[in-house]
Amino acid sequence: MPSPLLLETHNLTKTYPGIEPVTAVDHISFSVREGEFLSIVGESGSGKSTLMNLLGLLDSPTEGQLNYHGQDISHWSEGERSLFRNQEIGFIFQAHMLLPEFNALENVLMPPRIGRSLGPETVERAKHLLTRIGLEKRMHHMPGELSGGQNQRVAIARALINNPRIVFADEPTGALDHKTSRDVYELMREINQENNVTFIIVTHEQGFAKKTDRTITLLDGRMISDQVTHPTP
Amino acid sequence: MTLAPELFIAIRYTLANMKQSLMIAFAVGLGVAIIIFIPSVNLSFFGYFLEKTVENSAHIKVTRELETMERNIQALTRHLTSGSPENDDPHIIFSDQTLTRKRNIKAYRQLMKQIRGVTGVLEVSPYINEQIIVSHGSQIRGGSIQGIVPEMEKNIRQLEEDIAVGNIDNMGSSDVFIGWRLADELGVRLGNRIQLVTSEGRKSYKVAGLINTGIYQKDLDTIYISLKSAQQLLNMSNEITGINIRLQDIYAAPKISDVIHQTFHLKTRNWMEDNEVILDQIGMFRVIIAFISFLIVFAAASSITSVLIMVVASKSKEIGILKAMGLPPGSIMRLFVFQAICLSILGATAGVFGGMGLIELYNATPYSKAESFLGIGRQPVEINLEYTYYAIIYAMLSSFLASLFPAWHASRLDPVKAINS
Ligand SMILES: Nc1ncnc2c1ncn2[C@@H]1O[C@H](COP(=O)(O)OP(=O)(O)O)[C@@H](O)[C@H]1O
Ligand SMILES: [Mg+2]
Repeated sequence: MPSPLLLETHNLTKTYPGIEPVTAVDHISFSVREGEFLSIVGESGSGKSTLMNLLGLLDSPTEGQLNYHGQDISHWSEGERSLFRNQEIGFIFQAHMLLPEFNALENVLMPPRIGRSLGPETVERAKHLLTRIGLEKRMHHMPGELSGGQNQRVAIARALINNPRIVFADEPTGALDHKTSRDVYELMREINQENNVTFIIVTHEQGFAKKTDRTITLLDGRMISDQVTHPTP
Repeated sequence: MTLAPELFIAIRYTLANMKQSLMIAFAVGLGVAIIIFIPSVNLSFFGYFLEKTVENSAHIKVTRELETMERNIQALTRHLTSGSPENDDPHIIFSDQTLTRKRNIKAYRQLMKQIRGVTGVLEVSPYINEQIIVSHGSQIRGGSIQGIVPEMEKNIRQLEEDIAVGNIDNMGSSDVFIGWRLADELGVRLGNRIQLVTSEGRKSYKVAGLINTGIYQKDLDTIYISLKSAQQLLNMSNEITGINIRLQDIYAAPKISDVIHQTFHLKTRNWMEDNEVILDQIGMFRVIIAFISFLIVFAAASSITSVLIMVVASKSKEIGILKAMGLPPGSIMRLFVFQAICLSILGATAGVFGGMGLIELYNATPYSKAESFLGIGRQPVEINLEYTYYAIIYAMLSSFLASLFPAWHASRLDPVKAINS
């Protein structure tokens, strides 16, 4: 029995207005099931980030539909979208996306703080996550005192703290060296398998895309292929 | 309960960006210090002057003055406007203003009781006031006698403060207390006798005490005498010149004066009329201070706005991340408003201490000519609480208003653009 449907899009489109309007995402329709480990590839400017931002409710489509758990989210208020992002979605951006005034543990605890669910259990969970990603000795360090790879690990822990259904990672290793990048990917893969968290990872590194279960390729905002590389067990 | 996330973040931003925070706090603090310091010094000065005046004189004096002047004015006005003098117009009265008996109050005990019953009146005290001639040996001077009942008059004003030598409670029927300058001019000492001369005759009294009010004219002409002796000297039997009144609330003086005038048809004069000039000065000063405060607050507020606009610009990426993590726009807005309020609390606290420091410094400097001229000497300036509250409220309110635009701007940032910035 296949896992339940998490999200689906119908002709999802984003056009930036201007003298020469740019259609960054062009009538994309696809669906994602819970627990998938999926990559989006494509050349620079092909619309990967725009698609991620649409899926992550950071941006609104100009056309088409986006459903989560079968619900059309286009009528959601800003408050509902904020709550959904806080509870159901984790984001991992390129490097340097921690809040510099807060230490590693405080950064990880920011989503539960925002969601008003901060408590002894969440603190324990954050410490556990930081230990899990090998930063038990760096919990009280400020982002500036951590390496790029360590920063990105903290960002992963932060994306996972609220037990999201789905994590969006936009070129999460774009600023990291090869070895560190591999570690970060392996970490995401392990968490995907351990907790059945859905991951959608934007990358231009073919090697990593191949290791994911499914790869979507974009070209000029259009989906040109949707390949299942490793069928989900 | 944990702190609201926006408050937690606001406090951290304030503490982590100390340089910026201190810049704003300094602007706010300077404003607060000035708004506290200037009124503290000036109003203290006016305040001491008024207090001394008010404490040393009756709040209201009730007299029964000749109404000829008023009647004449009315008669003249009617005559000039109607042009028909033959109606039952009162004729213009030419009277001798020195006919003092016409101004006396009879049956004063009953009247005093009634005035004392007026709401707001604390104490009443009868007095006789008359210009007379004082002589000692070959020296002759003018004087102003004040017939009083010391134990009653003490309820009205701080009588003892003006007594340099002698005990006014023991003032006998043939004793007088005179201004020290008058004593000096006459060349009399304690225990000497002086002559008081009136149109009714002359009598001899013993100088039992000296008066020192610090006010030149008063020290030169004041003569205290018991009410009874004054009545005898002036042949006034059971009459008095007026009644001194002490009030519960000194600022109710005009209202209570009106009530007394309406009820008893007596002439009143209150301390506020006597000190109109200084009260006007204080009123004017308050307007000026309000204006200066507005300018200061405006300057501080615009510095808060511009610094916060900078803060929002430099933090736009983090605002984007916070939004991505689900912090709603309302909370983002509150974050920066809270930050401004944190800064204004910091600034106001610094400003209150700064204002207190300035006052200390002022108190440590030698005193000015104006103070010695007015005879009040240097009184230590105290912090003016009213303006301290104003300054704190101004600081908080203006910081709040000043933060609204930058905070609103932050809340409206597009998270995608902010993250990519
Ligand atoms: N805010 C914007 N305004 C106008 N055009 C934009 C904006 N953001 C992205 N684009 C354009 O949309 C296209 C897709 O961009 P993006 O999604 O960032 O691509 P990728 O992430 O694949 O590099 C590009 O041509 C880019 O120039
Ligand atoms: Mg991109």
